[in-house]
Amino acid sequence: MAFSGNPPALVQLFQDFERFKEVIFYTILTIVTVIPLQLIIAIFASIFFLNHFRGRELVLYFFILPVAISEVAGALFWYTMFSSSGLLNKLLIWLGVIPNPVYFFGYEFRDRTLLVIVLEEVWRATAIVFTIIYAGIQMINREYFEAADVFGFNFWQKLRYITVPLLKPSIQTALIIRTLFAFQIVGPILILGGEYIRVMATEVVYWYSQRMDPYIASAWAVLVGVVTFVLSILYIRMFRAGEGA
Amino acid sequence: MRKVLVYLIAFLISLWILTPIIYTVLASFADILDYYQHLIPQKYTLKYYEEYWRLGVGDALVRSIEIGVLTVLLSFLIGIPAGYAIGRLKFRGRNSIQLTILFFRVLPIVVMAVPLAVVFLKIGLYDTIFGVTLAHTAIALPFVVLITSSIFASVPRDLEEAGTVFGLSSLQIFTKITLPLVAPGLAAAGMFAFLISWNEVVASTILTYLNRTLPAAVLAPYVMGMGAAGQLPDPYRFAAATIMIIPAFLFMAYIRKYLTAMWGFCRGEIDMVSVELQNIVKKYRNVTAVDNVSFKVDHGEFFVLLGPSGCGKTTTLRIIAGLETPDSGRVLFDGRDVTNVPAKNRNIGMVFQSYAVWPHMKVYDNIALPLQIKKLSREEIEKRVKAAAQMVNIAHLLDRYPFQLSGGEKQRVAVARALAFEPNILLMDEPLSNLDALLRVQARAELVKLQKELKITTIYVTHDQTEAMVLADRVAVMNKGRIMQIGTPDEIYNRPVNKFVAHFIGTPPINFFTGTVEEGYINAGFLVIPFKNIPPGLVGKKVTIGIRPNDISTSPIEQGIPVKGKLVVAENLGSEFILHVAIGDVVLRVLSKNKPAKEEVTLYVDKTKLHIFSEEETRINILPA
Repeated sequence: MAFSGNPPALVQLFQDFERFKEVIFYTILTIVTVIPLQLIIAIFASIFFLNHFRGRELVLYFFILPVAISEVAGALFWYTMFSSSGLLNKLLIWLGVIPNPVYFFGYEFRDRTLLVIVLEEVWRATAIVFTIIYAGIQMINREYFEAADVFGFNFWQKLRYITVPLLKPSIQTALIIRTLFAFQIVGPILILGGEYIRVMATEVVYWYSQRMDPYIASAWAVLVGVVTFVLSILYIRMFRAGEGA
Repeated sequence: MRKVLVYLIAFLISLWILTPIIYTVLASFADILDYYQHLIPQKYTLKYYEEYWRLGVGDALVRSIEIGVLTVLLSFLIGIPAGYAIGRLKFRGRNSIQLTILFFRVLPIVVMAVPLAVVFLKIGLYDTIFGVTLAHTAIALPFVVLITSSIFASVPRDLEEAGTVFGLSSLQIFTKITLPLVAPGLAAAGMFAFLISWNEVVASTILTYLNRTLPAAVLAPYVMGMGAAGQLPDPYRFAAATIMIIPAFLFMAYIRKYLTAMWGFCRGEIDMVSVELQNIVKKYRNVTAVDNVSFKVDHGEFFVLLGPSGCGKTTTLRIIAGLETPDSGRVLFDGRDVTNVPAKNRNIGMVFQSYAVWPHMKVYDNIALPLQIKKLSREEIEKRVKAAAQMVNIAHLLDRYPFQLSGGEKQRVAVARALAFEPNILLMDEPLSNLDALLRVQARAELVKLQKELKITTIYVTHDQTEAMVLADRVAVMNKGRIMQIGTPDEIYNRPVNKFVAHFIGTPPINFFTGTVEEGYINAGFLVIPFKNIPPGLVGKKVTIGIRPNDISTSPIEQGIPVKGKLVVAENLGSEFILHVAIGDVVLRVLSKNKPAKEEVTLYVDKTKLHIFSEEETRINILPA
């Protein structure tokens, strides 16, 4: 279907080139900010949860709870946090930090909206990355870390020379899964970004449901499919090369 | 300090995750005008839920549940047989099927949804419960298959084979044995499938128009409307979010125990030059791992912590290393209090039980990296690596990766790494226990030689008493977190302070039998031994008498008391025999050069080598008359 129509739907995508550029821009921007953040947080959280402390299991449970929360609900929660009458604004006004609410949503505030989307995605989907990496770190013999302790490595040296290299397989898996999922985020972007922030996946929904144009929707869908496919192959290649080194 | 930090981080994580949820749930019950005015709303009401329900969300909710349940049923119907086949049966193309399943997972639902909608429109499935169910099953199925196949693969085959033996048919085995075993796992998979369906929004949005699922109904205004119309009123947002997370909580509560099991903990171990421990106590929850331990290790001494597993020796070593902080007590290096000094600043070398040779770097780098961290010059590093490698004979292995090494070679690398570091104190945690018997004897001899040459203070943990006797200048025998006795191998062997030490040291183990103290002698029934200095308070008490198998002879000796017995078994050790001789109820083990010809034997018990222990199992020092 993406190839039917006159001109073909895939070509029509480029006719509104401004919109096309914007979509691609926001797609890339959300992915390159969210994923590294999630990865870093997940690695530090994995190291943190190696500590024994009272209530560790409960905190662990809280931390991975968002795995089971839908993206729509996640977006609504963070809307509650950042809307003009949300918790953040009310708290800051109550504390006397600001006199009037700070706006995060709407066309003029797109950059701030993006911040909320990034926070929401980190809140909601870091748990998946964490689950994989934490499982990985558990498999590593604890003595590798202790050997580093004994030989005078500081926290960062241990991270760089021991933890991250040993975690490579888990990090790879987490990256693949997370990147592929990241192309499918629709709810948070529609709910928080409204019609002002568009990514490839929301374009599929928009063209199909609002504009009733299955052809252009298909064209976007094909594009998502191709990008996902190419990225998976690239990842696998990259990791193979990594193994050889 | 560190503890405070840990709790602070734990608190921040909880706050980060829970604040949005709790505040939104709270807001969903608040009167909206009141909510706008107050940070914490004062007036609460259910009216928004009622309104929202009447607006059709109730129907959407019911629809979501129906679709969820149908998705579970359908994905089980296909997924359980498929999972069983992949998990249990071996057939050609199994791997490619697994790959295909994964590939479908990779294909985003965003890509599938539009073509599906077009097809569904043609065949009348568009905007129906069944249509959405089909799409959700397609999403959930790969997960269900992967989860069930791993669950089935984890069921021990012999449990099923036992069923075959007792005459059950294949179907009966499946329904009566396999299925009950995997039921909890399947329940988790089912809940997971439900959750996927419940949370899914893209396919639901595209495949429905009037008959929305809950997430699609919530999202609908954003999809269909523009500007202000494209927004849901605040109270409805809160209510929708609250309703939607309920299954998430239930699901997570259910799988929590699996997660805990999956993420169970393994513990590791370590230690360092003049080392002094003062009243060290370490508790884990209710277990006291180290109970008021004190000792001093001198410069250049080879000190062995010996005891059965779980006796606290490794924890003691780890406290010396700085890998654990004691609950109370002090650790002193050369008189300096290092109790709160982290491991990295203690300048210790350590050889781990698993060797902990980092698997991702070559032998050279394994030895060199700690020196690089110490910021030594390249020449110095090379010099030290080479020298250390020479010492333990691994100079030819420097270019290899650990996986190319044998266990004995890895152990040498671990020792070389510790030596190249030039530590003040060398700690070893059962470094030989992973080697086979012959290699262990050889490595043991090398360790002794090396330590004597280098004169490095060494603390060595082992459960092997032979190792302790061979290696140690002094031994500390531990049991249940306490030091039982500290002394040279000779002292420990010849004058054990209690029954535990007497029993733990020496092979074959010491013989014990009971006796009663009387005026001037101890009566063990078959044996009456006169003693000189029996304290009057002891008369009439029961005691345990110990005698080592090599202190009993089959031929007359000077201090020997003759006893007649019957030979039960003679174990041949090659150069000697362990004779088991029955004397009434008591069976004595006797070490003997040769096997007696007759069943009737006379034993000579060396009365100067008897160990007498009180009812409290401590040594009583009395001399035979």
